[in-house]
Amino acid sequence: MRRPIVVFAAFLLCAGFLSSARAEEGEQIFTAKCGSCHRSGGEAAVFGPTKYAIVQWERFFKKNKHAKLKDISAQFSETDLQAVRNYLAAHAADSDKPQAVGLR
Amino acid sequence: MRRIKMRTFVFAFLCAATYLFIACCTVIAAEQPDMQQILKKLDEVIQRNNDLAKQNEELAKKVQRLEKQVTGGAAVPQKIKSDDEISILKERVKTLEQQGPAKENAEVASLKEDVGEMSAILQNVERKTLLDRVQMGVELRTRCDWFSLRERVKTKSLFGKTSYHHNSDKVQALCSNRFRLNMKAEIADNLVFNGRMVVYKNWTDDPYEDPQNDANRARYPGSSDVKLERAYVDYFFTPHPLLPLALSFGRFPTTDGMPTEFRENTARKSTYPALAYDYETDGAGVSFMLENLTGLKNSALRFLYGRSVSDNDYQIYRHADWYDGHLDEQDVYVAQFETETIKNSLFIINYFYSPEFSQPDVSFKGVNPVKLSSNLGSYSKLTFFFEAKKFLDSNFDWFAGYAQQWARADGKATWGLGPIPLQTIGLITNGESRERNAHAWQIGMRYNIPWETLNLPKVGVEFNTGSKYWLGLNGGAEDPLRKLTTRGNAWDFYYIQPITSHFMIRLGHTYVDQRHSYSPFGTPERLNTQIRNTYLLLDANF
Repeated sequence: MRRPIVVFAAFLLCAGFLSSARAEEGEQIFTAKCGSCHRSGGEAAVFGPTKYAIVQWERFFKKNKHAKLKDISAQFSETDLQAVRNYLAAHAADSDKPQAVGLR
Repeated sequence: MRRIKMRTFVFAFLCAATYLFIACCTVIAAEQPDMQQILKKLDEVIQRNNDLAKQNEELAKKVQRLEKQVTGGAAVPQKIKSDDEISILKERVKTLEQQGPAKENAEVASLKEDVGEMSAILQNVERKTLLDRVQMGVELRTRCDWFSLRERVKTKSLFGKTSYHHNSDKVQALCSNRFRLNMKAEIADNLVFNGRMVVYKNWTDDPYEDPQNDANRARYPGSSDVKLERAYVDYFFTPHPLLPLALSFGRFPTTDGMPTEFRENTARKSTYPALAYDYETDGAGVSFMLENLTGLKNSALRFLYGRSVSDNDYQIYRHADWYDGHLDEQDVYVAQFETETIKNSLFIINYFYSPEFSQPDVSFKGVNPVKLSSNLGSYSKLTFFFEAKKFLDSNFDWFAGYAQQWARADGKATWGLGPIPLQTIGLITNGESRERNAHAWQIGMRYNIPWETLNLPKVGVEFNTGSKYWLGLNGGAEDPLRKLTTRGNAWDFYYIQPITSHFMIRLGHTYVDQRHSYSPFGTPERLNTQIRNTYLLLDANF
């Protein structure tokens, strides 16, 4: 019975060493940077990842559509944009959603 | 004399000098207006030069703009310095200006035409979108399994001598296809429908329905292989701002229980943890959203009623005295509290209660019932489950669950040959009235490997163990060995390789060490059986 617990603990340690904070970067950047303008009463309208489907988000970034409204290249590095792009695509309108009784 | 001459000479010299000075002053005074004109002209020249330089720059910019418009911005003129270049550029500007409006007008006209055409198309698209109430998604899975079994069997000879022998068996490449049609309709803001139709079959499995076979099944009318796995409606309403509710009814999402989504690489797909219950269920229920009341994120309290077993094949009035041999309904009551404790986590306390456990349905086997009972006892289970994804903002996901079961066997069913009884069973007993308490627990983890070149693959390990009388209730589980029913230990290892966002490959190995035989009915027997299942599956969903 000890074996699984030992394996579990070993994985936990390995994961602790190997893990990085990159996974949540996209959401954080989206909230902090995009949210500075796209907020209630802000410079731009509030929106969430479900505004578009995955393909639409991909097109939005590929064609740099934001630049037509406002140039944000000074605020966002290439890495930032990629992280936000990944976050929005992962939570887009047609992304995989949780399912359960009474769950919106 | 000499002195006189000298004086005269000096005097004459001074006179001449004075005359020259006066003459010069006169000339200078006379010519003063001309100098002013020269200076003025000089200023004008300088000004003109400045103007020309400015004009030069403006012209250069204008040419740049026009050339961009015409050539798409490929050519950029060099700095213009001379008057010749300016005149050349002026000519060029003239030409471009003449070309520009004509070209622009043509483009605008073309765009207007395109917009008109697109508007007509969009009208149709919008109309179709409004009429398409159900969104559909497809999952297609092809899976190949290799099984191997090894068991150590204890036998006793007629003279009482105990001996052991080993049995082993292998199944090579058992392949299957599973098709799922997922449906969702947001009927109104507060009314949502979800459904799933499934076709699940082994490759070339012949249903023995002459003259059709697997190769032409779709071309002949026959039994329907499409099954309804889930179809339910949620009605959301808010009788009090602090307590929003959801009323749900239909065939519930109670399969693929958590943490199945870890190895399936999906979001949560069930109401219950798999350790609590993993079967299809019809029923109704109500969910209380407690977040506003308690402040606990995504917290909810759900009460669900379901009927997990019932046999109503031939008769509606199955309680009539003359009716025997089929199953009575088995009611299931579930209370579940769930909340998000830390970010991306899910904590669940699930209480499952079935007051009257049904006998097994063996009517189709043609066995004659001697004495049956509509109630073999009561069964309840308390499950605690926790899972966290991207634990503490890392690439690490993990889960743990524990379940305690209380079963009270109180009833028996007997089948036989005519009036002669052959087999008697009860709930985890051979018909005796007994307490059959048990427990099980599971842990597991998944690591999201940060290799973007390999599309962020995942690797996971799971372990679960169940005690002698453990009753898993996992007949609807995704894995063919139904590992959570194990009375013993089970290990699962898998590697998920996403190919695109809609296609993944999973390679896995499950090892089950059975210490006792598994069935809801009959006393468990001691086993020493090891089953291994290696599998490869291809999953496409869109």
